[in-house]
Amino acid sequence: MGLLHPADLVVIALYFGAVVGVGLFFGRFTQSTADFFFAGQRFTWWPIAVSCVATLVGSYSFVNYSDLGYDHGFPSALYYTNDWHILPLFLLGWMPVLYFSRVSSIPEYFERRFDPRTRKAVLILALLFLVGYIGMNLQTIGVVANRLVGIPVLAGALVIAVLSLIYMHHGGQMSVLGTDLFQGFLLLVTGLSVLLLGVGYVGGWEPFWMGLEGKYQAPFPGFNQPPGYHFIGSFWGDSMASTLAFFFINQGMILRFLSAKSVHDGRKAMIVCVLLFMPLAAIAVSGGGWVGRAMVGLGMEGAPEKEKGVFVTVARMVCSPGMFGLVVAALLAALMSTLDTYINAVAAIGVNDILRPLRPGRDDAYYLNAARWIAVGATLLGFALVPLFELSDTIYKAHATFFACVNPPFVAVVLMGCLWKRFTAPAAFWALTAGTGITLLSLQFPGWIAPFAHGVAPTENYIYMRALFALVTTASIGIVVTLVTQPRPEAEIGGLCVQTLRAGMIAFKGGEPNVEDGERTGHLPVRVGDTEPGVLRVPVAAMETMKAREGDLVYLTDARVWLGGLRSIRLRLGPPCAEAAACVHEADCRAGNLDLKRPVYAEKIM
Amino acid sequence: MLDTLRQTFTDNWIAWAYQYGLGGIFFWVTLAIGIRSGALHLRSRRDRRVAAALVIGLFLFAGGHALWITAVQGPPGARPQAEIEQITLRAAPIGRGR
Repeated sequence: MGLLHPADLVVIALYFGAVVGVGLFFGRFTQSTADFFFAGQRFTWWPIAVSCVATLVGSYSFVNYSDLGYDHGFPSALYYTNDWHILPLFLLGWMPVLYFSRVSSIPEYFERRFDPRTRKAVLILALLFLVGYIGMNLQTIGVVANRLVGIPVLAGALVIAVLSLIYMHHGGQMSVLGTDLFQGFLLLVTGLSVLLLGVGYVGGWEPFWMGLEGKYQAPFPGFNQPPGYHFIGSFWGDSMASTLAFFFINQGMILRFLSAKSVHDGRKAMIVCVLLFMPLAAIAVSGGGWVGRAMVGLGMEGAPEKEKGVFVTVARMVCSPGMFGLVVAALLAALMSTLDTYINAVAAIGVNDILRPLRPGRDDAYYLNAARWIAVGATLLGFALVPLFELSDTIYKAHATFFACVNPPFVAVVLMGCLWKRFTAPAAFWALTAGTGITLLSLQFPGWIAPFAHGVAPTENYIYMRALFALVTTASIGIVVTLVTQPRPEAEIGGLCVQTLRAGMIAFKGGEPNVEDGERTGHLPVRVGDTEPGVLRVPVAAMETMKAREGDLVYLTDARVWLGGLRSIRLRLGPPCAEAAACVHEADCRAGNLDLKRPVYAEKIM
Repeated sequence: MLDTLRQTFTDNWIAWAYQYGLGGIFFWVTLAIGIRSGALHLRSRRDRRVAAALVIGLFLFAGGHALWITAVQGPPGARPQAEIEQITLRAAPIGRGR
């Protein structure tokens, strides 16, 4: 049974059972493609924020960041704590642009903002990235299972693929959000537990701090050295390229934020995630490495060696049987939560960017069914890549290197498209393709990057500083081509960039937005009938509390806050009703999963 | 300029200044663009809270990192990190634990 005690196996089995159970439970609420891709846009900020942790902590996080923490100490937390400056752009620019323009995929944004040619280029890149990433995740899961339990890599990958599909096929984003919520808590609690147990193991906080004395205690690594991990590489390679790519062009993350009940809740989710959960996640994923480094610093016997895997070694030392099973479950949670997010992303792109243009006008049930089968196909395709990744490390590295070169030009084009209304379609196409091409060529001619290197030694082939080179090159191409080509009329790009956001808000609501401050109503009973589908009627007093007018968008939800919006729906406000109740149509009551025996409250969206 | 950049910097304060200097410019410019575009209505209490949370968050991160560096290496120029790296461990081995 490899490294595992029977108690560990019981805990892992319970974990799998819980994940599938939670996934199936949330999947019961999926009735349409809007539920399958955007969880019905019904969730409040906190399930989005917690579930983001699970997606954010990727398949390698515990292993990689613990190794980094072991080598460099506290500076390993920098990757998760250097992103605050990108928040205004995401919260005030990109998120409202996507939300209000009702864009359902990144390729779709490229067609609406630019042209079909750019959409096709982005579609190919997005699918290559996502399917390749599903394969990489499955292979990593297989390798973990092989090392821990001794089963073949393919068998481990197959088990996880089947388990993920059981709930993914059923519920899509509803299930992904539910399971990621559960797994997000598990990741944080387990990672922080390993650190606390480790601190106890080395004798308390004082020996732990002394064991990390010197450069290991600082918050930042050196500015441009040591080779392999330095501040400037982290700033440009991670914060300004990878993180922007993660939040701006990662279809899985986009779908997550579009699942919020309003742009305001999406903003709150992101603020809490970056301000609170990301620093906690940084501690959770690095803690094992810090404990290992402290053990080395204190000269303790049995201190871990990096070659043997710092995180697993430390966890085995400090955790009792059963607790170690929880640690393994957390590792699997990190893998599975990333996997299911990407499977859902492929289904969204498959339906919205391939099937709908090919077979338009079908009913929603047809597309929902197709989404479920595309999810199966994406998983099988990813699984088929596992032997390929197993066969050769080169293919695995080639995929990672290729997308490290694609991401910065992609980010530059998205930012220019979002921030600059004059940015033209030919400029987007050529900036993306030529920017990527030149960045790939820089692998052969690393000297091109030297002027951007900030003193980083050329010996490491500028793996991090390439991002700055790519951003500058792509932006330059974009600016030059824009200046010699004709922009689209402003009316055609309404809501698709920050300067035209207001048009997007008006289109989203179907009228002038109502931004007057209001409160949520008190608890109201639900009454079915006496209104049209899509319309909510409440008493005059409730409308005054919300400062809402007829025609405003409102959110009606079960009053139990801990449900996080699971039983809720967004409706248009109708004329006031005489009864002291929330009057909804039967179809809306069903679509929002409202429980007639439970009180609800209403809140104005806009 | 380039010669200066080619020097090896290890002082954490340089990283801090770069992070919150260049990152700060990016932050304030994009915040101003967002407000000017109408993405945030400063007449609305709810949107003012979002703007306040963004600004407070920036100061929390910048202030937190500054305090941390001060605790480890002192104020700017007091004790460069290169010197910190030379510190010999004072702690004696404390046994093997479990």
